[in-house]
Amino acid sequence: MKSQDSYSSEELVRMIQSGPPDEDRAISTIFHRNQASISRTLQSRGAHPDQVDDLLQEAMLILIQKVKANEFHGKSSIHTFFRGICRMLYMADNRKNRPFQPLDSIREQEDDFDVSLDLEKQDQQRKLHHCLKRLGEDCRKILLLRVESPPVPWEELALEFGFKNAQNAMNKGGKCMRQLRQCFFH
Amino acid sequence: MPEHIIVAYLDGQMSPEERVSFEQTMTTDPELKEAVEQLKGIREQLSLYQGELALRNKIEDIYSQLGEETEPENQSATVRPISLWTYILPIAAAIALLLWIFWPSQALQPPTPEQLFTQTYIPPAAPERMSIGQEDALQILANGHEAYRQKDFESAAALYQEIIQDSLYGSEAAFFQAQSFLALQRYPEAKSALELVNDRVQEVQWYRALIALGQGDIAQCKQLLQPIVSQPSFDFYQEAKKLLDILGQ
Repeated sequence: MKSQDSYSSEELVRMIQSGPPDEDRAISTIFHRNQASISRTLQSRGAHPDQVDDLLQEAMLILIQKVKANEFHGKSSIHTFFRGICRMLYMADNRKNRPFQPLDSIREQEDDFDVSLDLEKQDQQRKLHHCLKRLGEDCRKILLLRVESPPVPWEELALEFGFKNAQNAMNKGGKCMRQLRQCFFH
Repeated sequence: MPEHIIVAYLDGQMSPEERVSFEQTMTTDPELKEAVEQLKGIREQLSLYQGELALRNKIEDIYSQLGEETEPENQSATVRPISLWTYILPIAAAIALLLWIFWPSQALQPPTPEQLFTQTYIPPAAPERMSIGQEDALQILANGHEAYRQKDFESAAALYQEIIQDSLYGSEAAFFQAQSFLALQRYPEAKSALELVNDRVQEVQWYRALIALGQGDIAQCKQLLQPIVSQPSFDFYQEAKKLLDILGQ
């Protein structure tokens, strides 16, 4: 097995496309190569370390999805592509606090990385991720089990989470949903 | 209205009568209507999120492990160059060089180009701390210099790369990216970076010669040193002369 950082961009793309366990090694390699410099840059611009951690993980999720959907065309190295996604996510975050900033500036240096993001979708998913983190573990699990296809029945959830009956589980699910809605829309 | 009733409506778990009654209430209660719309939207987002959950969890696990590994890796990163590259090879190269120069019969083999490179190349100091304005590029340049000063050449090179096309700071970024790659002995990348430097002509000439040396291309190295030794006022004149003497004019 090669040491980290010795994989070429093309090899990393192939590893991601081939799935686990190569995919895991590729993720680790890309993080390893870029995490320190990106953290340093973003923190020097005022980003909180927790924000940087979340952003790096979100960027990795996007990168994996883009590579698997063949939306990475190799115009840049995969590391440049990853940094580009991080930059766009960070600028999109900042844009909320600086509404005068034109959207075009988020797409800076497009020649360097061939990435276009559905920023609204990413924004919604990140917001949801944060809100779910703020809910308790039970709430998070119940809500996610209820959107599985098919949804896990309330009776089963009552048994799994120790509620008296399905109605109580449903009441709990309703409360969880209200908390999530309040967090998400306010 | 309790949220679980809205959930039951969205889940299709109401009787037809309950459903009609709920929908009638909705037409007269804008807040309820808004809540229903919002819950619909959240459920769609939750479904998307659910589909990505396994990958999210994996990424989070790998990222956490990375944090745990950072400390020992940093230690090994500092130990490795000190034990091998920082001391043993340069000292060995220096001893070999001295013996080769002062041994009349020149019985010893001359140092290899790699040894000579290690002995000759000294990364130039990064500029002093600069005052940071509001410009992103300048901020990145400053971060690159900070990483460079800390001898974190990998990070420095990555930071310089971000602004290498910048009209104001690109040339300086390219120069120090080349130095970072030279320090890492990644000669082809150092050479590419030097090609983007549009000033520092004399310094660039010297480092191009060192790249050739590092790559073991003695003829090319000598050729690149010639313009430097032809002008005593040239930066690196003394160093170039000395190197040419060692390489044999």
